[in-house]
Amino acid sequence: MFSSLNAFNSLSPVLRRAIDQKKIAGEFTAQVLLEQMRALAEFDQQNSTMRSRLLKWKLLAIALAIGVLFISPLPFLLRLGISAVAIAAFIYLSIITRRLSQFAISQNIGAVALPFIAILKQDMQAAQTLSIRLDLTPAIVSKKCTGTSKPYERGAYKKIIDTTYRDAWFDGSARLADDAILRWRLLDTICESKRSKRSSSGKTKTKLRHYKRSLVAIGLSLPNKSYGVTASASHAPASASKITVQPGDKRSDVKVVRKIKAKSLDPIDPRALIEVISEAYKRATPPTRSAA
Amino acid sequence: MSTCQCKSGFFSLRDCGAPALGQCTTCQRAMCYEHSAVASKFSQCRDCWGRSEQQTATANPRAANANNTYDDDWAYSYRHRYYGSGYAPIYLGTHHSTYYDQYDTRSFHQRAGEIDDGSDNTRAGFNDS
Repeated sequence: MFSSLNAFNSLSPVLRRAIDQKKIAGEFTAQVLLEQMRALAEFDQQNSTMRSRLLKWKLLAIALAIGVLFISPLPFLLRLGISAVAIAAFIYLSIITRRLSQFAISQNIGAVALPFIAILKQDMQAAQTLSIRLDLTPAIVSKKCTGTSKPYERGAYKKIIDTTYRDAWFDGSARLADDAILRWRLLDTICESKRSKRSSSGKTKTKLRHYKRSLVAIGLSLPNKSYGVTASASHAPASASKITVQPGDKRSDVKVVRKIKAKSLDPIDPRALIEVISEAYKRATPPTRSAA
Repeated sequence: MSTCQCKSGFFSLRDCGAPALGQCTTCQRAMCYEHSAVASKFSQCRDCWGRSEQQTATANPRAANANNTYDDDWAYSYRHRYYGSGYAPIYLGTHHSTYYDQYDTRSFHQRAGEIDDGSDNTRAGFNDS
């Protein structure tokens, strides 16, 4: 159980600061950023595994305390002693779990940002830096709350309270090896709906539902000396994204926005981000050979 | 000294051009250190290793990467699968290779059958007919 705490202490000061501040921001080469993100994702996975293991031990400790105290045929004082030890263990495990929960970071880093940067690295020169701001705070936290609805009634549910959260968790920009400039922004809007209804036995049951709307927006500024742009992509099926193309003197800008709906808090599929960039590149035409 | 014949990039492809350190045992192309697949113990280029991984991998970037490394081997393997799903990258290099023909790269209208006289002056070259 101390392995997670030891793992935190063995992280570099930069990574410990990233976990404490719950963000990665600044200019990095793709390689340096990937190394940091891999270490953070690995630590978070280890931390998450440990917390779920501690939860099982906590349940076991409380079950032991209740079982021994009320069911066991042992002498009363012995039962009391074992129960006291089990309750002490439960309290101790709760403190450790709370401490480890402070190190918890958003799953988005390992599930979306890491594969995306690994792919973006392929399109960047090794020494070229990229600028990012990655929020590691989980989406459902009070500082991201944008409002709570008044209780209302719908169907069988007698009391529904909706709380919305705005999580602009990932944005950045990078100059790619082909001299294109890529900007991206990922924004999640989450509605947490707490619904209560009275069952036939008279008990009040409460359900918690999450609805997530993810906005994936990218801007690709293509140099005219290397690329042309077209308003429509050739050989491409109808796109699920909104695409705007703005030709300019030196550069042409392609903006792609895609909205994704989900009924869970799971991170979006990183393919969504990769696909919107692909859609922008589909608007680019290959360089033309000069006739002069 | 020969140069690496592999192509770098994901959304667009470019020539690597780094000094070659070996030859891929599968495609026989010259490859540099960066384009040698670590997982194949540097015997294959990352492209060939990625193609050989195609059988076991899925289109989901997360699925084929259980250990969260997302290294360059993974990126090349994923690139191969992604191109297979219909994306045609733009090729910005000058050394056309038939190796990438299956990806239907978008590039100059110059193919293997055409002759490049090495001159930038295409008006006076063989292509001006």
